[in-house]
Amino acid sequence: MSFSITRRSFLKSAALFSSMGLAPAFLTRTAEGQAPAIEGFNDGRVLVVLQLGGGNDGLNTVVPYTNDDYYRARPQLGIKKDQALRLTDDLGLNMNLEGFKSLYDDGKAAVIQGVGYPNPDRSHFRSMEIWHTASDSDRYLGTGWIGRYFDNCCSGSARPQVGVALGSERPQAFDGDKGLGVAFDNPENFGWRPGKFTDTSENFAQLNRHPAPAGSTLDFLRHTTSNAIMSSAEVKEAADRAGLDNQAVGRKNGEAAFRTVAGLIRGGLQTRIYYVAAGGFDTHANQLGTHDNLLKRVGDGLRSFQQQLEEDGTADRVLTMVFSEFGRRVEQNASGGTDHGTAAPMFLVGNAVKAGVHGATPSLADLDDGDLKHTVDFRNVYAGVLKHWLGVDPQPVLGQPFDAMQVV
Amino acid sequence: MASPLLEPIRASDWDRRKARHLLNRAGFGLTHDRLDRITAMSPAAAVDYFVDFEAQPEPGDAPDFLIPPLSREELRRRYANATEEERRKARNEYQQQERVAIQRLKAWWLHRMFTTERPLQEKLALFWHGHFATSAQKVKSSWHTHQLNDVFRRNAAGNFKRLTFAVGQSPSMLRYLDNVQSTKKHPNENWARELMELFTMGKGNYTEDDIKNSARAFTGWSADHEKFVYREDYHDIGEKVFLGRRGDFDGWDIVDIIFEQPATSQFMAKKLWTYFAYENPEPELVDELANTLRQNNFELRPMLRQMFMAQAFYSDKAVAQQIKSPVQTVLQLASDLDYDSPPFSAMAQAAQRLGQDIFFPPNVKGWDGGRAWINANTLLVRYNLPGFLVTAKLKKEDLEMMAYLGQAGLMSQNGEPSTAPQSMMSMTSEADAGSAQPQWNAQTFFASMKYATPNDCVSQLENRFLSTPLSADQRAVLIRSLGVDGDPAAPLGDKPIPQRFLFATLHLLLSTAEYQLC
Repeated sequence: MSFSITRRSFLKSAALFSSMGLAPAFLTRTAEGQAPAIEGFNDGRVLVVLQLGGGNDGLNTVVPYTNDDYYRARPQLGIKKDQALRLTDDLGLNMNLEGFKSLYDDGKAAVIQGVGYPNPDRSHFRSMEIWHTASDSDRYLGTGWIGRYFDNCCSGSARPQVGVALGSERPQAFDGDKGLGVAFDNPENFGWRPGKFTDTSENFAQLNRHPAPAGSTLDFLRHTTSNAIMSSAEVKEAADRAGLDNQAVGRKNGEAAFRTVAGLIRGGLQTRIYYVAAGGFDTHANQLGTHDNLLKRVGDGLRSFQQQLEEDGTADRVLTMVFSEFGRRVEQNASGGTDHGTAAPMFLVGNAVKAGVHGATPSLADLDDGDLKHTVDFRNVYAGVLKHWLGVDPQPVLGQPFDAMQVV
Repeated sequence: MASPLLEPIRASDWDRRKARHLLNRAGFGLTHDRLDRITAMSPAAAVDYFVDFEAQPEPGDAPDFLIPPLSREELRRRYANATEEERRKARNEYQQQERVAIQRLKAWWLHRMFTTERPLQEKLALFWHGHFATSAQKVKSSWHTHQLNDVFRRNAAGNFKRLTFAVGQSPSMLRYLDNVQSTKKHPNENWARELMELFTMGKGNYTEDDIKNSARAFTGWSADHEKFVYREDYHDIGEKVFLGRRGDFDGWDIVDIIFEQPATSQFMAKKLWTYFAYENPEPELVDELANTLRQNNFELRPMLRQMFMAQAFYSDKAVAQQIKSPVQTVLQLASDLDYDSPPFSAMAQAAQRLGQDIFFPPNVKGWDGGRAWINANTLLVRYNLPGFLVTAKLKKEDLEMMAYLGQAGLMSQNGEPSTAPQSMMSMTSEADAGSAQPQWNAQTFFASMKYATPNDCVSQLENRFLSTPLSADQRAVLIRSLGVDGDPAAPLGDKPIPQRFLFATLHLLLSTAEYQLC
């Protein structure tokens, strides 16, 4: 989760950050007043998905600090009982999750224990694909769960910016028949840059407005171009209204991406789902220091995001969901790390969240070939978010009936 | 009966447009002086030039910066007396060196693609890299990454079955799909599954039991620090049932049986035609190509020759209908703009930004290609990239932008930092110091164009850059952007078009959907 920027652009962005706090609250209201409502979006509810790529070690995230089996399996890696931040009589948070803990204590965060799926796949890409498509582990789906949500529940909207992923790739979860959703690193660079010698934007639009035979590749490219022109304009306007005009905010880096998301929400972009990715959780070796830093960023990032939303007056509209493609194996390995495993906790953050610990903690005495047995199917969580937060019927989105977990 | 689609193209139909199409598809469309040469040949001679590439000299620049893998014994010896802290430090340093070596390997390969006299060999190597995909993110070795790249190059148009064996026994693939740890007690199904699903037969031609049984057969296929080893004590000698056959099969037997299946030749014929010609080929066309492949015992050349000679290959369904891959986009752009020696590591990073990070395919399926290259963001990057090259003399802010362009995908799919942008950053500072950063020479470029009227100017740009013609409306927009008042057909005489208008028009032309096609 690190990146380099040149010193100059860093200084530039630092200066802008300090002015960002000055964005007046009335700007938010104005922006909301201006932005035209799209069907099904009247309540303005937003879902933010944070993906922890690489397989987050669930056992060292939500620690069973009274369980001897845990300490036996992890003599070096186990989080010490007196260090864990106490959630319940037998579960504690990793001490680096102090930011998340404060949200939990304020009744704004939930932990869902033991989330996974039947016949887990330990390959990163396949497991991630399963989470993105919400498929059974022996099935391949061509569309993602969010894409199917757009297809089923956003009738009347042809606006690609209903889904925004911070990063260079559109997540597989966005794939759907309508192809809604865009990805960009940075609102400032998401747009066509005319040459510096003459202003040619209008010429650019005209060149690419020219009709092409329906269904042809050229037609597809033109369609994508007009989507790009339209979304980038809306994204820029929202970013401008929110004072998000610096170069560094939008990078895929977790915290910076959160600042961008908060800004775009504040700026009135009518996006229902934001996708943010943080990586580096594939801790096969020397897990200790690495995982500490990663969790600290997650916890602090969630807290500062929530604080920003509250300052902006948008917090009631936003739910954040955190997942990883799998947890790690119960036993630490020979190189001070953990190997690919199965079930792990998910987090939810937001004012509407039913705070507390949900789901059953998987047993450490009853393992499946050294791995935890999941107690909650991740699609029950998706169903809960779809039904109780986004207010839609989960079945057409998930393709199968899943009980909607009461998470909000 | 032979399909008319695969009738060879007649010599009398051969023209510059078809020659350019062959150049684009059997190579990277790098014109230099090749287009004239190939247009002047007969179609058969032109196809031979590409397919019989071994007649051309081999570029001899083997990379000298790879890090040879160390044996376990050597590692033990080296760190016998080291503390944990020292080991950690050494490991970090080593990983950093590997990251840099892989970045250099990307530039090395792009350089090779750009300069080779054997374009089809590199185009096929890129195909095989996407087909038998392994990622340096997991393999973590510049040495093994290059080793497999070289397997692709040496077997590019050779025998597909031999190539499959070579890939299956490459340390890169053995590690990427975890066969190194596959033992009779814990057979790993990763390689066995992908071998059938993605590499040879395609889904629907085998069962889960076939996967389980063949995984047992491949136990013992492993790697030591630098090469394939067969670990007899890992191997399951029991009886297996595979695709209806019964025996104590090993990995070699499994590959033999897979290559007896009609599905294998069908799958490969379709995939190669899709890569080179167009998607969703006619079934009879695939049948006939597959037949050629089987009859030649999976030697690829006869089928490749048949493909590149076929009338269907030069049909409207094929010509200028393919979306350039990111690698093709950056190479062609550099060539179109007359760069002799473009900044290859920046180009590798630009390709990454466009969605193709060579040596780091997103997963074992490789790159989907086609329309999957395009989304709102990557399309804008495609439009912006030439803008920086065209309108900038690589000033500092433009290099920063180039650096930015190269920075996407810092996190790859499974979330690890995948590449270090340092090389790009050091390029920036080198340029600041006034070093020999290659610059695009716009003056020379436009001076070499002979145009008398604004109309001519647009026609020349169109002929040079596009495989598909513009509409009259689009031409009118470009003529307007040249800033000429009055009749676009009137000679310019002694009123040359100001350079800033030329640049703006060129950038516009390159910011079109048309320029994404080849």
